[in-house]
Amino acid sequence: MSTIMITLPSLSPTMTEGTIAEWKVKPGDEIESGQVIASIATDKSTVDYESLEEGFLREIILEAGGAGPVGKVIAVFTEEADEDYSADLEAALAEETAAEPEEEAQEESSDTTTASSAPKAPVSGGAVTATIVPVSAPPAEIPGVGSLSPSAQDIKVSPAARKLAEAKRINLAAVKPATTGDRIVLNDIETLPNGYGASEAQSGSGLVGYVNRASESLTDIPLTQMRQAIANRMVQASAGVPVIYLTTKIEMDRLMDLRAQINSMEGVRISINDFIVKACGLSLAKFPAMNGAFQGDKIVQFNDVDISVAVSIPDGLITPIVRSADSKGLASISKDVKSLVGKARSNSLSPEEYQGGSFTISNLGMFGAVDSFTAILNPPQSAILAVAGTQEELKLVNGEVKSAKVCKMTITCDHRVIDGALAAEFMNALKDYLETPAKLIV
Amino acid sequence: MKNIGKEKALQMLEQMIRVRRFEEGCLKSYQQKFITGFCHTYIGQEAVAVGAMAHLTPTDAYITSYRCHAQGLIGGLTSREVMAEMFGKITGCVRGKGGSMHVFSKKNNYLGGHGIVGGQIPIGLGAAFALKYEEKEGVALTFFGDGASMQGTFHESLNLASLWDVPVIFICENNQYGMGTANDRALANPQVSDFAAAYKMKGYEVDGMNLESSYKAFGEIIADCKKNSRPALVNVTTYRYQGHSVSDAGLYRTKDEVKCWKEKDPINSFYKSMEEQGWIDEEGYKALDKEMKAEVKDALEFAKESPWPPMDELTNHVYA
Amino acid sequence: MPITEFRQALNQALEEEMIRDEKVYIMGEEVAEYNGAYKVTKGLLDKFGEKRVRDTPITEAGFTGLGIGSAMMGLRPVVEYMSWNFSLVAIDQIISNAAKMYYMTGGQFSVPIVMRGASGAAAQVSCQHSHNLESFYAHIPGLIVMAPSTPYDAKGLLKAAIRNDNPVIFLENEMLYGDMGEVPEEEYLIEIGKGDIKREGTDVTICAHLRQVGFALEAAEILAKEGISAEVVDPRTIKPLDIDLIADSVRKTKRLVVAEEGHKFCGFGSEVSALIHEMCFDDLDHPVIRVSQGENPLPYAKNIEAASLPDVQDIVAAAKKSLYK
Repeated sequence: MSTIMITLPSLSPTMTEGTIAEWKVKPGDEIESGQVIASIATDKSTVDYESLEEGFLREIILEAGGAGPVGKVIAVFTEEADEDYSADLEAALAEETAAEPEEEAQEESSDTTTASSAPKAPVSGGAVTATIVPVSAPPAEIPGVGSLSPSAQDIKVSPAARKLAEAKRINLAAVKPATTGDRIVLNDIETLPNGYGASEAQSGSGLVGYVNRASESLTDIPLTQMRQAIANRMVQASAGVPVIYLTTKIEMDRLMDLRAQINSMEGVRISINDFIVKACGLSLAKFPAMNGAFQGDKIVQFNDVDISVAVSIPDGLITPIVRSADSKGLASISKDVKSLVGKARSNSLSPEEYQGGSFTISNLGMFGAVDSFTAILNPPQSAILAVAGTQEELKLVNGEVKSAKVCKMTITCDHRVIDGALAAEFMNALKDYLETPAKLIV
Repeated sequence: MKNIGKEKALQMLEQMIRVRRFEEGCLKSYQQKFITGFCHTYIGQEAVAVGAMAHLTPTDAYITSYRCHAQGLIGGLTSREVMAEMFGKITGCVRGKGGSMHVFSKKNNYLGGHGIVGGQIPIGLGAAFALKYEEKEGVALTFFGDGASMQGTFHESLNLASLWDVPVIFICENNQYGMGTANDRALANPQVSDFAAAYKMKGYEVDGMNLESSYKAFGEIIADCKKNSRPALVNVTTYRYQGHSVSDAGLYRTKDEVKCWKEKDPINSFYKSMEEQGWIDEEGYKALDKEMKAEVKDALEFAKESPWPPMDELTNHVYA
Repeated sequence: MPITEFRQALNQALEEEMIRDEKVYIMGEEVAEYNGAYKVTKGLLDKFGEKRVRDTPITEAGFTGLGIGSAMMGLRPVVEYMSWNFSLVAIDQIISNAAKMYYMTGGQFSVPIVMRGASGAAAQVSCQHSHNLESFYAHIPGLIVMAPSTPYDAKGLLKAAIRNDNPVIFLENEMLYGDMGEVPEEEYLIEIGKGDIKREGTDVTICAHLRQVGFALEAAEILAKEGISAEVVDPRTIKPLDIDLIADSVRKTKRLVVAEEGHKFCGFGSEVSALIHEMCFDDLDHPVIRVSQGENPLPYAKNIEAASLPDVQDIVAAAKKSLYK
């Protein structure tokens, strides 16, 4: 006495489900082993299904035309003609239905896991929520131009040469691929002294003196994202870019007088820096070749004069941009700068407000003690102007000793883009604008 | 029947039923996806291997194609060992690495089931060569199908065997079809024993649907082979009831044809002969069948419950 | 140490192993009465008789399969292919049967068979008689592939091969059979999978096997005159490969040239190159250079045959290229 569940057979190696094409027996029939009881459509063909069981067919569960997965109960046999099989069938069907949702549930739960553990893809156009914004990153893309910034990473180096250069603390940016013309290989490195081309910081020798100190006398300050970005960009800017520096003294007396007059008007407050921004804008418009970037096999010239202004904030520094500084009036520039500085200090600049400038001004004039300095390029830009504090100086005018308020400004230029003569002309123009400030208004 | 004797007859009947129930268990398990990959059954051909292997001694060797479950069982592997292999379990006769086509047993000199048609024929020859080299009194039964008999290895092996007097018996299990191609569409001469003359060895035609004649013929052939250290070629006429493999829908032959062959069923006819001798009755037969079914059921349970091969088995036995 | 001919070294190995183990026997075309197409088996029929030194008909699949079957039963056959080109008609036996047997029998039946013979190009034997099959056979798990370049290595490796329980593909080269080299009188074996530094150097590693080893040594001489110190590494067995030996050398020299007689695509050199790039990427001063045969069947005419085959000058040029010279 027993009940036999006939399940949908797997009739080909790849069959996972099938359809009953036809039942060739009916309930009540006595079935012999080997007897064809149905024809079943598989993924390959329709085949006769010979029973491997013997007994009495009591009930067809999956009617002709019905489909199901391999293993699904399709009929019930019993050994004797009149056995009760209802309980067995119920149990088998219950097991079948229990198995299905379980699988679904598993899938669902695994979906949930995926969703919670995997980071969501950023929504395009959505706000970047990082609270610490990177230092004026180069624009991700400049229309019509590939990525900018040639750097040490672009120099081809054989793995062995790279390894040896690391061991010898050689700055690869300073090595010429003399052997092959396009790839630095062992031969190029082997002949160089240890530390070749490396600055102190890069070579790591600056740390040597500290290494042996007791650890309690040192404090590790983890790098913030911004500090890391600054570090990376400054290394990028200083490694492998040939630069020239030009310094000029600018008499600020007339500009300061003009500024005093303007600011005496109700509700107006223009800073010295606003004048410098405007002067740089006009000078760049006059010498557009200053307003470009070196890009491997070409120089890209920016058609807009967008001046990045370095702003010191507690985490580091950021360079928001005054757009079209050449064509804006002083009042408008002043308004822009105030708004940008405010946003910079509250970490609420949006990327387009600090990405994509064409020239940078770094002004330390508020620190009176600084009477001159040089700035590091803000890649991929080709020039940055360092503005020091204004000092009272004595000068000879037609044999008479007079005092003048003098500000030293130093420009750092990427020599691949800007030659000395061009930079000098630019500085002349800048000096002229600042010393004849009426030109900034008219 | 008298020459066989009751005891041997009962033993062979049991072997034939075991093979058939085992293969049915394989088919059922295949349909339930416990067995996957390829699966070729021996149903219908039982009298061939049972009749031939009944005469083997422990020294003798044997080898066959991918239709290899029966020889394993007849030669002494347990249903559990073979079924667990079908299921790909570590308890299988080759540790789950071979599956349906690669049943082997070194302790029984079973040089196994081989997957390339005709590829095993020279290996069987080599086994017999080794027996002779070591001056052992033994033969190697080399089973293959009619489909393999037109492979180069078949003819190369016959030539070498005859040339070097190797005691190998080439057994063509001529089940009428090489997969779906009827042998008269593939063999210029489907009477494969005719090739024996070409290689100057003895050729035999044997009725593989009848255990009595199969047993008798192989008794004589094996004895002659051992005595004279000469090879022989045997064409055994037989029929597989099932498709070439489980995925064969069998559209190349008629139902009438299959029915016609089933009427000559080797198990049924041998049982009838035994019944005439009074060696068994219906009750005894049913009891034996039940015993075999239970054995297969146990093997299936064993296979289901056995563990999968552990991961280190993957790279184990690549090199000796 | 006695100076011995390459074929004689192989002959000694066969004889010594046949004396040592009764289960070792030899078969192949022309190995017995003819004394071997290349005389490697010379005199063995007289010493061991027909039972153990057997001429076969020209039926490679048949006698290879026979050898495999006898090996499964415990014998240790040494099958000679007059040339490895003829093994292609037996490749199903070698790959489906010999290589897979131990694995697919769950470790029950090992197949201790050695298959040996001349491989690669000889002199103007054209398209069908010049196959280099290293990469074919080395691709298959279960096979050991040996490719000795000197009489010493040939003897030590063949003896090790015969004693090994796995199927061994033993590749020789017709052009090497007459080479002379030191072979000690006392017995020795060479560990399978252990390569050999044939010449030490510091600037570039040249990995070569079989006939290319000689070419590599000649190339090293020429390079030395130009101030380049080349190290010649002979893996001796292709599979298992002594990649550590090659890698250690590359870590020292920073450059690798792999010279092989076979074709480049999917060739042995490609495999060594990939492994070295995986293992020694940071040590390389130049991508690995493969010196190999042209991507064409090997022709008969002397001039274009020579143009297709790698030679000393090709190795010299590759070595210099790796040094950017």
